[in-house]
Amino acid sequence: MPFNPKPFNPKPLLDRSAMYHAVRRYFDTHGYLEADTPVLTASPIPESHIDLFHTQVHHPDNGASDSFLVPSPEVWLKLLLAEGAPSLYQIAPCFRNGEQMDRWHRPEFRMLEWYGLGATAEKNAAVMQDVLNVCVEAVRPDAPADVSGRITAITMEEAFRDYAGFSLESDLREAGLADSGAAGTADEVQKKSENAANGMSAAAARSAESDDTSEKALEAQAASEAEALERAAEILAARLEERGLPGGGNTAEMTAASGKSGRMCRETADDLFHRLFITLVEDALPTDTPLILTDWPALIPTLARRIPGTPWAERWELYIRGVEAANCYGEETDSNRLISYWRSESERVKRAGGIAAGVADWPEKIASAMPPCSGAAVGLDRLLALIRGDDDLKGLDLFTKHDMIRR
Amino acid sequence: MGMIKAGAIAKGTYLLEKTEPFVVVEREFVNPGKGSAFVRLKLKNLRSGAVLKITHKSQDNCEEIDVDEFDAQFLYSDGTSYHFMDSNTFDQFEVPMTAHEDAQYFMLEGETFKVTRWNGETLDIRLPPKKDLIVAEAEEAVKGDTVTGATKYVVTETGLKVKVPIFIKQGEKIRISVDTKEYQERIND
Repeated sequence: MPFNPKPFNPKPLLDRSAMYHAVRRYFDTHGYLEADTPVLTASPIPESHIDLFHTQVHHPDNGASDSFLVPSPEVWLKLLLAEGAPSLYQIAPCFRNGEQMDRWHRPEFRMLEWYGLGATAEKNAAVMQDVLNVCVEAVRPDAPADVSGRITAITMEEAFRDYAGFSLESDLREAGLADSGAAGTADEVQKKSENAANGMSAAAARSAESDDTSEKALEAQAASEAEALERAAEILAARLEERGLPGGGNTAEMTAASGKSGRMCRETADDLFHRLFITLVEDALPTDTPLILTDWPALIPTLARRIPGTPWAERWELYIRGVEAANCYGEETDSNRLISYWRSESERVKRAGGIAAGVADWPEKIASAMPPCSGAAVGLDRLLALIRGDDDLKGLDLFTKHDMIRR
Repeated sequence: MGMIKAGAIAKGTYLLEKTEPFVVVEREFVNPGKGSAFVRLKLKNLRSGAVLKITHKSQDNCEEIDVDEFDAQFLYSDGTSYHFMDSNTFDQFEVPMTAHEDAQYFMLEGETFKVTRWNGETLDIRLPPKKDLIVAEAEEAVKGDTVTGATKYVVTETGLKVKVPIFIKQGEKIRISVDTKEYQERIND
């Protein structure tokens, strides 16, 4: 490298470079193809909890059209998979607007996302361990056990029993969430497995049914799912109330606080779950080694596939020193569920006053041909800072007055 | 009494939770991958000193206490209460030490502090982020002990025991972080 006499701290660049090389070397030698997908899109994936950076493409003689910076490469990678791509990985710039900026949040960050064809979330946990190992080895081989130790895996149910003092599974089963919701009705599950046994694809099975019957079945299923979610909300609100926590009882307090007297501010089951989880469990998780928390409630709307006969979805999150650094799904492949998820998220975005993205052809394309796989995403800035032993992302900032975070 | 969105709460905000007054000691944002934004708060009860950990959705409305802030001179401590004098009215008043145990290490008699009051009740003494204190007791450094980073304990004029570098001597002035109660640097007046 030519010598530059100016004082310069190359450590953040060197660490990042070492980590990226290690990640690429790992995936390149384990059957994955590196993808490089667009950062700008006219039709982002609808996600009601993510606020997008909105910009415009100016056409020289024909006005302008809306465009957005991607919050993750998910939609592109899934589209490539649906078009027949092999297992993929990408190190992608991602953008999220409207989030608080603090120790572990930045509006722009780098994400490692990978999809293993035929993989399960459990298989991807093993890949995560490998990726963590090669990153530690590349950046800080003598890193302490809280980041370099073997990943401990515990289930959400175990975590609730240990740290919240009750069985979440019993609550969710009592609400009727073990056999409705994302897995479909018991009948549907039964029919699916029969079809599978007969070598019939899901798509062929669907087309074999009359439209009328499947429409009615979907309606009935949606109604029973909504009822179960209502019951779950009541049960979880009671858990909060028992402990005197906000959100409990669903509640006169909330109604008064909202300033809309006489109107019940009923919270959704997933918000109530997150209240319990964040207050009682997440903060109490052990931090002596990295930890994977598996099997999340299927009542949280995601594209993680349901674990049949349980209230859980095939999903994990990785915590290092208590900081969430990665997540993973066993990906939903059912076309009806994919379309209805995106439709309902899109509705939620519109209700919240978000910008409606342009009409896209990707939902149909992905839904019609999503192969069985598992996808994982790692916040690389967080991972790097945690391996370095930093307490925030500041050590990785290349510029002291970063324009992005000037307020 | 005003309402404040939980997402707008900062360290040092005064809140009413279940009719008890609290000050926010720590605040951290939590954005679950799939879910609403939350804020995790660590609050100190301004009556009992007890710590409460609580989580709010960023959109939750919380009750913010509108406090009066005024200057008061610290007179003395009698072991259970601090005695102050309002710098404007010269009225004397007491603040129970219960919720403000650490303040004893950072207030010298005769110094003026910002004090906050709500409904006639003194809630909080606003301490500066750093405080310079004289070392009252210090062991002599062992001759020849020149190991870099070697430390020892000293006691300040206010009775705070603090770990310092070996070169600090009795009678010297040192700067302490009020939050962590840790030594920061030697002050040469």
